[in-house]
Amino acid sequence: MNITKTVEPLELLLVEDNPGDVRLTEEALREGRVYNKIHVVDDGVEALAFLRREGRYADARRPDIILLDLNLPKKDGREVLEEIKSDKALKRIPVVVLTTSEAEQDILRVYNLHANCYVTKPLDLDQFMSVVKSIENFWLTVVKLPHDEE
Amino acid sequence: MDNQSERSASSKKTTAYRVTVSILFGLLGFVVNLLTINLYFPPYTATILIGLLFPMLITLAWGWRYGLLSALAGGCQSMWWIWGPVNGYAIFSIAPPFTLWIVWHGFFAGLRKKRKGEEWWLNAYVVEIPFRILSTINLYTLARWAISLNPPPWGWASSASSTVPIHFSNFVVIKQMVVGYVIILLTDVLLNLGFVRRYLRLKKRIDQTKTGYIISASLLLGVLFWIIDSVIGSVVFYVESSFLDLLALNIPPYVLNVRLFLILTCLIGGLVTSKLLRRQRESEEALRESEKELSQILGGTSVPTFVIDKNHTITHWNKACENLTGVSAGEMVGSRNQWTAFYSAKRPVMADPIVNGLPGEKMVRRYNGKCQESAFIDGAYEAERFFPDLGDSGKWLFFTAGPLRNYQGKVIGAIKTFQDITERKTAEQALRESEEELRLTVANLKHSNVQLEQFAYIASHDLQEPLRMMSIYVQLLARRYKGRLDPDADDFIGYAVDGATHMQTLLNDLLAFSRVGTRGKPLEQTDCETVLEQAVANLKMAIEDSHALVTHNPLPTVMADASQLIQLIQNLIDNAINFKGDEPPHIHVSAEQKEGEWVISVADDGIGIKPEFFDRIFVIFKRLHGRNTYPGTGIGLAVCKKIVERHKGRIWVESEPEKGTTFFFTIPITEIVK
Repeated sequence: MNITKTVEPLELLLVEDNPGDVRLTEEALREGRVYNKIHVVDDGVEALAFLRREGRYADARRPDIILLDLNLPKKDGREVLEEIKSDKALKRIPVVVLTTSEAEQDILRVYNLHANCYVTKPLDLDQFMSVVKSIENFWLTVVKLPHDEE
Repeated sequence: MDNQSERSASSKKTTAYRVTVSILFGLLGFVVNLLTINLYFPPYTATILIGLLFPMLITLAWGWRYGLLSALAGGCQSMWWIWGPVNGYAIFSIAPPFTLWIVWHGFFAGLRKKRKGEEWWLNAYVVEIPFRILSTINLYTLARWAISLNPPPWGWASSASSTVPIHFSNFVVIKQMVVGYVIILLTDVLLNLGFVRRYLRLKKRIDQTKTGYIISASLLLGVLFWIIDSVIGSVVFYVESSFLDLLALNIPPYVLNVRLFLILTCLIGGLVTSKLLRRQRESEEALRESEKELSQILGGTSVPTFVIDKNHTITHWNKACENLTGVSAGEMVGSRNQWTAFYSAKRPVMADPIVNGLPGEKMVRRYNGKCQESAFIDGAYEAERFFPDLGDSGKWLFFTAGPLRNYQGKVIGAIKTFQDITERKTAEQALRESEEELRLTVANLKHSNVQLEQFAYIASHDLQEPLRMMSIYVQLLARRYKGRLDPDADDFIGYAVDGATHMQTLLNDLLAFSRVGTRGKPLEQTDCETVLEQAVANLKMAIEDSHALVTHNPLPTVMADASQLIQLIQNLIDNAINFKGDEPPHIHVSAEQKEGEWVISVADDGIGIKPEFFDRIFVIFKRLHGRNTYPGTGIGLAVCKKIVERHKGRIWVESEPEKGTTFFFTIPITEIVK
């Protein structure tokens, strides 16, 4: 592959079935400083198809980060997480779990499935904005991500 | 007192009556004797003093004292008159024995009465024998010696002879013996007559009648033989002697011996026979008595009971059994139809195999293992069974069948008793049903409780999501368009944001509340001091802000869910801080051991609560103050109550407005089983 040194947009995969949250995340990212490209799928099956470039996602790019909601139709976020983390080709992609659940057992379980981060969706707009921005900051600018050869 | 005096008065009357009659009878005897009934047996004349019958009657009826009175009153005194002139000195040895004779029989009659006539040798005919022997000896010795001293100096006896042939003595002995027995016999017969007994005021006689007649008959038989022997002797063997000679006047010595022997034999035979008859009658009576006693015992018990003999024939069927089965004793006793009272088809009842001596295992098998050996009756078995044919709708009976054994230990029958346990069984059944119902209700209740908690959890959890959307987008709206719409719009957006925020708090609280039940951890040994430390640490900010002082006494270790206990104490302290007075609050936690539980208290010096609100404060979302005055949703104490209840404790409050509030809760002390 020809890797140019031009600024490439960050590829984000947002797995979220709630259009409100999708829009909100998009809004928050739009306010951010980083040039990014956001892909949205609304269920677990689609998410895995996207990542594995199956069907209509044949041309999809490998995302740099996955924002994953836990409660998803068809395939639950936990299962999606489990499959990502057990797939050699995908397991290095950082996964940030976004959820409304504050239940301790949910948090534990998610970390046990090797989620990279667990974030509770804040109820407050400002908080929500800052969470999304800090995710962006942390994972896309602070952390050095592995650059996978394809 | 009255009774006693009455009795003594009546006894005085009786005595007076007896004395009078005794004297009268004695006089009567005297007069009768003076009639001088003479029997002529040439060359001798025998005077028969039949008047002796009267004192004899008195003595046998009332005893020797009255007999003696009657004898002295005249009955026996006539012989001084009659025989005195003939016998001279001898009258002194002849007359007194007659009085003695009356006393003698009176004495034994009294003894018989005392011993209820049980001893055969007390019979008048028997006690006559020793007296007759003594009297005979007297006639041959003393009397003959006295006669040899005759004639006496007193004039009226001057003709008394000084010698008597031995034949005359024989004659007198026999005459006295015969007359003695005849008088006793006559008296005995008279005393058996109803009107005589009534006149002498004696009880009706049941016993001894037979005895008396048998002995009289045997004696008469002896006398009859004497006469027949005399007739046969005079016709066949001693043709030269006259009938009278052979009867009494000149009996050859060996013939006399044979006859006496025969009379004695007859008498003994009679005595033995009467004795045997008496014994038989007594054993019959004893049997009847014991039978009657058994019947009375069975009849007197309220336990339904029947008895069968070794032939399975019913011998007893008591009232209680009649009552239980509705079948009368008249129908059952004597039959073998015991089954009819209990079953609709013929089959043995439990008493039957008992009589047959069926071994235990077979017995148990016959009743399908539902019968067992009685714990305290040897050889008996007991069982419980429902009898559908008894009563209106069947009866449950507990029954015991046991063997009846004779003195050799052989089974001669069986006794069966019943206990109507229908009521107990019905109660047991009702209890089982209500227990089952209760169990179901409890299970349902538990289930619905779990479901309710689940519902609260899911509701509060799932409501969060749409609420978040509402809240966030209203906020986004405010952020982007504040000041760009009119001021009303800004207000409205402001209220919408407030409402959403408040609802979020409520939902969170509800979630916390429902988690007490659904997310509780098992109870374990928990140190309350550590718990308090943790609670205080969690409230650090609030404590610092309010300058609160939290103190405590030594606190125990209890069985609890540590995180819930932390929450409980934290909520109570938080509550105390929230409702503080004007001064920085002082909160004191202490514990006290009461019967089987720890009472832990959290006391403050805050604004206090009016007593009428004591119950209200523990209800979820009930608040006493406006949200603007004091923060909170009203969930804290409801959670506290729920936590305490989960620990099987109680929570209550004591408070005085403006002085302070103390919350108490209990935690049971449970033994640690290791």
